[in-house]
Amino acid sequence: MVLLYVTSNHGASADEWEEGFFKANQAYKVGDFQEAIEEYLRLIRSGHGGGQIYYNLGNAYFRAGQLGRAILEYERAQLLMPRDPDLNFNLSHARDQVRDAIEESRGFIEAAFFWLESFNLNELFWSFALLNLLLWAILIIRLFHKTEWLYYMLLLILSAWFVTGLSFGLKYYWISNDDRVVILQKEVNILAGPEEDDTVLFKLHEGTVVFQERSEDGWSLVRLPDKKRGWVKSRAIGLISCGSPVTSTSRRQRFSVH
Amino acid sequence: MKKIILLLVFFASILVPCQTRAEVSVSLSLDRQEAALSDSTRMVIKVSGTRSCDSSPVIKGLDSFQVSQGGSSSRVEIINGNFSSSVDYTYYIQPSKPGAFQIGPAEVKVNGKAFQSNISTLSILKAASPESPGRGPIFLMSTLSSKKAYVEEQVLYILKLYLKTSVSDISLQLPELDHLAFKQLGKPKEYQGVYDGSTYRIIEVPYGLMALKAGDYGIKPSRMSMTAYDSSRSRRGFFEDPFFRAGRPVSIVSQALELKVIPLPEKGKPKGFSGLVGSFKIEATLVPSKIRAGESATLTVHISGRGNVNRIPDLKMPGLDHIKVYADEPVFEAHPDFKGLAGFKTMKWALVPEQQGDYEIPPISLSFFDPDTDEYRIIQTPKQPLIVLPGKGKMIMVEAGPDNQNGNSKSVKQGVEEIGHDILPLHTSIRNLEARSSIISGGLFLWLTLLLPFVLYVSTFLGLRLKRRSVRAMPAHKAKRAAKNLIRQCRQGRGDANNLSLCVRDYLNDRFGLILASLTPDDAANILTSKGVGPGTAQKLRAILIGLENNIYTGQTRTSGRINNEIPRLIKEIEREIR
Repeated sequence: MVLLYVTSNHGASADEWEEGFFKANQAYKVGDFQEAIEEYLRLIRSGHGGGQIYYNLGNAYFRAGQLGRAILEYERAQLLMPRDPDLNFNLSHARDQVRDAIEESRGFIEAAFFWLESFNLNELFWSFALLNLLLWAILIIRLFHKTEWLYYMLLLILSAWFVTGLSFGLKYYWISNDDRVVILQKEVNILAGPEEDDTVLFKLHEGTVVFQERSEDGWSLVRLPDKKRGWVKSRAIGLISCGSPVTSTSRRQRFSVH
Repeated sequence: MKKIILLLVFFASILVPCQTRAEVSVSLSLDRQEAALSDSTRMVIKVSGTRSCDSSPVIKGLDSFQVSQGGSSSRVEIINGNFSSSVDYTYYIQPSKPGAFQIGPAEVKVNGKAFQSNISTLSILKAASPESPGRGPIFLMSTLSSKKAYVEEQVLYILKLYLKTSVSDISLQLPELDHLAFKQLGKPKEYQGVYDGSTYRIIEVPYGLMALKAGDYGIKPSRMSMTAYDSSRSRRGFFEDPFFRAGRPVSIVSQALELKVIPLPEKGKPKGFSGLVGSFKIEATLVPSKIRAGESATLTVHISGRGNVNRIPDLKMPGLDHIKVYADEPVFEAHPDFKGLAGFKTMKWALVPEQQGDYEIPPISLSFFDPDTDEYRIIQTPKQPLIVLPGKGKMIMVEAGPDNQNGNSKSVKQGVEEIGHDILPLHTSIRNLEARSSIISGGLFLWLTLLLPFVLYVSTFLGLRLKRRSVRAMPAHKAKRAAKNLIRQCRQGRGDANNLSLCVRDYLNDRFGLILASLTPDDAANILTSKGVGPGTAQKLRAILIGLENNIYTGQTRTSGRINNEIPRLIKEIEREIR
C-alpha cells in the first residue's frame, strides 16, 4: 500500500519536472535564455535534476552573457559528472575567457589521489559499498570454509576496500569543505576590510575562482592561491559547493545568489 | 785522504772570505728604450751578490703592461780567485697603450733584507698603419669582403699573419660584438707572399661574419699572441728547432674595421619569407614518372646555395587529389669553404596515386633575398607530370627513405585550424536526470548499506560460537539433569530399589558420556575413581549400590529412607569433587 503510494506520487512528480526540463530546453533553443535559466533554476529548487541540469543552466548563463554564473554552474555540474566531455569542453572554453590569470595550486594529497577528480561521490560510494559487501561476504565464507585462494582474495579486496574507502572519505571531505567561490560580477574590488570605504587591495573579474575563508554581515573574506586576501561583498560571489549533494540546506540558503 | 782534506780546506779558505765580502745589488734593464705598441720588450732584473732570493722581484710601474715571465737563471763565477754570483729574472712586457712609462724600481728580498733597483724609462709609440712601409718581422692584417651588408648576409673577414721569423704557440682573440657572429671557414692556409717588396710567410685565416641586426658596427682589432724566435740568432741543424731556442712572447693586433649593416627591404618581401639571404637554386626530380595506381614515385627537391643556409625552410608539399603523400625526413648539410658558408637541403616525398590518370605535381617554390641584386627572388621547381596506369590490385608498397622503412612514415597532414570558438549544446536526454541522489542526506540508507554486511558477519560469527559452546556443554547439562532427576526421586521417596539403581546408572552414563547397559557396584566405584572422585566417596556409592542390589535380589523393592537421604548428599559430593 505504501509502496503503491510512493510510486504513484513519484510518477506524477517525474512528469512535472520532465515537462519543466523540456520547456527550459525549448526556451534555450529559441534563444530565450532568461526563460531557460528560470526554468532550470525552478527544477533545481524543487530538488530535481543532476549534473545535466547544472550543465544546461551553465550553457544558458553563458549564452546570456553571464560568464561568472556560467562557470559557477559548470563547476557544480562537474562535481556530479566529472568525466562528461561536453561539460569539460565548455568549462575549459569559459575559463579561457576569464581575464584574471590565476595559477591552480595542487597539494600533495590532490596529486597523490589524482583519480578523485574523475569520479563523483556517488560512484565512489557505490564502489566502496560493493567492495564492502564482497569483503564481509568473503569473511563470512571463511567462517565455514577456509582455503588459500580465499585468503588471497581477501587480501586483494581488503586493499581495494581500503583505497576506495579512503578515496570516498577524502572526496566527501573535500566536497563538504569546498570553499571555492566564483566571481559573478564583471569587476569587483577586493578591499582591506568589510567596509565600503576600505582600501582597494586588488581587482578581480568575472569567472575567477577564489577561496572563501569566512563571511559576515554580507561580506566575504576571499583568498587567492598566491595567498592574497581581501574582502568582497557576498552577493558578488557564488559558492560552488552550495549546489552539491553534501551541502547542508542552511549553507545553501546562506550563499544562494540566484 | 790527506789530499782531500787539504783540498776542502783550500776551497773553504777561498769561499768563506768571498761570501762575506759579496755585496747584494739589484739592477733593472730593458732591451730597448723605445718600442711600438705591438712590440714586446725584454726586461731583466739582475740580483748580484747572491745565488738565491727570498722571493721573486716586485716591480713597480707595470700597470699598463701585460707581463709574461721569461724564466730565471743563476750564475756563479770564480775568476782568479774572485768569487761572484748573481740571479737573473727575465720578463717580457707588452704595452697596452702608447706613452712614456717609468718602470721600476724592482724590489728584492735577500736574507730578509730588501734591496731596490734603478728605474728605467720606456717610450711606447703608436702602431704604424698597416699600409705604411717598414713593418716589422711580424704583423697582422684584417680585411672585410664588403663594408656594407644586409642583415644575415655573409661577409668574409680575413686575417693574414705576415711572418719573417719563426713563431709558435699562436693564439687568436677575435673581437666580441653584440649581434655579430664569426664562424671560421675551414682551416688556416699558409703560403709565401710579397708585401712591400719583402717576402713573408703568410698565414691566412678566413671567417664568415654575419650581423643579426642592422646598424653601424665598429669591429675592434683582433689580437694574436705567439712566441717569436729571433731569426738572426738562429742556428742551422738540430738546434734550429724552436724548442732549443729562446723565444719571446709577442702580441700583435690587426687594424680596426667598420661594417655597415642595413635591414632587408620590406618592399617586395614575399609572404612567409623565411629570412634566407644569399644565392640559392632549387632542383626537383620525380622518379619514376610513370607508375601504376597503388605504386609509389619519389619526388626529390634539392635546394643548394651559399649564404645563411641554416635558414633553408622545410618546404611543404601542396595537397594533391587522389594522391597520398608520405614525407621523408629532410637532409641538411652545411660545409664552410674559403668563399663562405655553403650547404644544401634535400626533401623527399613518396607519392602514391590511388586512381589512374595523368597528374601534374605543382611547382614548389622558395623565396630568398639576393644581396647581389638587392632584391627578393622566388625560385620554383618545374611542374612534374605523373602518368598513372590502372593498378594491379596489389597491396600498396610505399617506397620511402630509411626512416619510413622503420615505420616512421608520415603522411602530409595539416593542423586543424580553429575557425570559431563556442560552447557545446545542451543535454536533452532525460536519462540520469535524477542523478542528484543525496547519499549523505539519506544517512540511514548509507549506514545500512555499509553496516548490513558487517552485521551479517557478526551475527553469523556469534551464532557459530554459540552453537559450538552448546555442543561442548551438552554432557554436563545432561548430567546435571540426571543428577536432579535422581535427587528428586530420592527426596520424594517414591523410587523402589530397581528404579534407583537404574537412575544411578543413567546418572553416571550421562555425567561421563558412557553407554553402559548395566552397572555393577565395583564398575561404578572404578569409574568415579578414574574421573577424579575420592576413593572414600566412590566406596560410599559402591556400598549404596550393593545395598540396592541386595534389596532387589531379596525382593524388598522399597528402599529405606536412609538410602533416599544419602544418595542426594553423595551425588552433591561427587559433583563437588569432580569440579
